[in-house]
Amino acid sequence: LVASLKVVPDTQTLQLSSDAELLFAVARQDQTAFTKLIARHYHAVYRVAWRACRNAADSEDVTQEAFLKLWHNPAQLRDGNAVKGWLMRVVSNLVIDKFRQKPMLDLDMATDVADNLLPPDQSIDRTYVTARLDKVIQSLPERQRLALSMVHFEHMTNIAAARAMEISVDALESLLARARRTLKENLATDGRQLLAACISDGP
Amino acid sequence: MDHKMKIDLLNDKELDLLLNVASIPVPDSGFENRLMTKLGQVENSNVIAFQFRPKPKRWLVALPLAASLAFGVWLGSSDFSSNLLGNNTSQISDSSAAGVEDVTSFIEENLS
Repeated sequence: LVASLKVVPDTQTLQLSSDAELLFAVARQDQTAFTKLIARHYHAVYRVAWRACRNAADSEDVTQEAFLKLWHNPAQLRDGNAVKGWLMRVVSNLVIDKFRQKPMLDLDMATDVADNLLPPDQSIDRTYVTARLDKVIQSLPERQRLALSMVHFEHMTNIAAARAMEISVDALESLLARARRTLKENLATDGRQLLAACISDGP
Repeated sequence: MDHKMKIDLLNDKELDLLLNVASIPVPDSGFENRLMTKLGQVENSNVIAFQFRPKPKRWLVALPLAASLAFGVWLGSSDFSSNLLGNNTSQISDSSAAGVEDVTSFIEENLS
């Protein structure tokens, strides 16, 4: 450990550092290394938190809390290259704890769309599709939403996501299957219309 | 029931295509500064970072148990407990009459 710490002498080295090297530097209370870790992982962690919390304020709180835990206890990470997975695990636990304490406020989604009703003018644009999908995803239970968020949106492997959620891979696959099934059922009436609108709008 | 059977759900590929249209949240600008500010506030407060208590080592519990077991085995196998009685003790004689069956012979001996 001591030898590895000497590998990270300055900011120049940090430009090319791996997570493990940055973590060693964080253990020495090196704020530059910590900033680098934040820049590297903040967005992904925030996205997972946002999909679980459903509003920006709670998402930022949860994300910041996860990074503060990392700053105060970097030694908790056994594998220096598993920073992202560890942060996801912390965020998952924080989100679930928050849900137990109080239901999340849906402030960001105040302008959301009605459940499966088309707009009055019968035209569907990409903004409508996005809002409709966000609403359907939000209707999932939080653990299913977390699983979907990590695997589908953050492209984590099932093994990594299961480890982050502290469940077995079978349990994760079950959560994903139930999430997808629920999404399909909730989009049964207008799913193809939404899809057609996306295709006609182009990428 | 029939109505439910007729509903044609999206397939996996279609669902994936749709999910790709979902929002991609972006944190507000300045998140890094806010986090570092919060970090500074925590650093300057009197709060001491929680330290996890190390797990008790199992061998520390197993060691006295194993020693106790070994000591018990040694005590049982050696003459240590016999030696505690010392050499001056005399054995109780149980060859004389003690039971109901011996009563007759005992009386006869005394009468004769």
